[in-house]
Amino acid sequence: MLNLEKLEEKLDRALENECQESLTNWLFKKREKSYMALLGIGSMENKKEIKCEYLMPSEDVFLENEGNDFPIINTYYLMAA
Amino acid sequence: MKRKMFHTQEHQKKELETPIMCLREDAWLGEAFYFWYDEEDAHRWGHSSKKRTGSYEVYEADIDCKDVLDTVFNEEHYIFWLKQIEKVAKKIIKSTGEKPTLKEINDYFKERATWDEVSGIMFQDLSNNHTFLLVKPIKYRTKTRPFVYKKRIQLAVYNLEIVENFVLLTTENC
Repeated sequence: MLNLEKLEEKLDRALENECQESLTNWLFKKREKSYMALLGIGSMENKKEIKCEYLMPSEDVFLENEGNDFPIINTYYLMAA
Repeated sequence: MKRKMFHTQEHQKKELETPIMCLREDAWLGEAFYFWYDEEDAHRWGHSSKKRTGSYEVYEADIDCKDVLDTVFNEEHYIFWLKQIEKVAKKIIKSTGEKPTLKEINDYFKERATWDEVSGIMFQDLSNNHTFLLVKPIKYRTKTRPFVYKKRIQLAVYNLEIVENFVLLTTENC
């Protein structure tokens, strides 16, 4: 049977001991770890040069669907970095 | 109190003897062994998210819920959980200017408040899949709103010792 009072005491004590810096560091380290985990296992390797030129055909940019009020836009996107 | 609950995994070459810990970053309550309360939800999860090998497995187990924080069926636990979540969230927002995720709050409970005695947390949400509901959606003027009367209940287990009689129930194609 869980002792809720004891759990609350432990939590309150932990929160009392936090300062802005400790909590910010804890949260941002956790988020950094989380973002890194999204990249998977391995290490990053810098490529010397990547050349890429890509023009998206205008007819592929927008597809008109039922219930879609967006206008068909004739435009193109250069591929971002 | 013991509950029979269900664990879904992609079909494995070898039958599992214990559940697999969920390490996904988007797991609501962090790294844990997740179980479904309702066998139907275990199958829906298999169909929607365990498709990689073309089939999925549903295991059943008896879970000792004595040291589980039961936010679904236990009113006292629910009110307690809500209070603690908002307490931590307010402190984090005040200190960092950022809203925490539920996973981060739960990590705070475990890591900073050392809630080691909590063997698991039972929680619920409502499914976005309305096709299985047996009640007709409410129509009012131009709007149609389904009433999701059925809770989707899960248990995040942190202590594997509370899981007993873990056995394969069925293997199904996705």
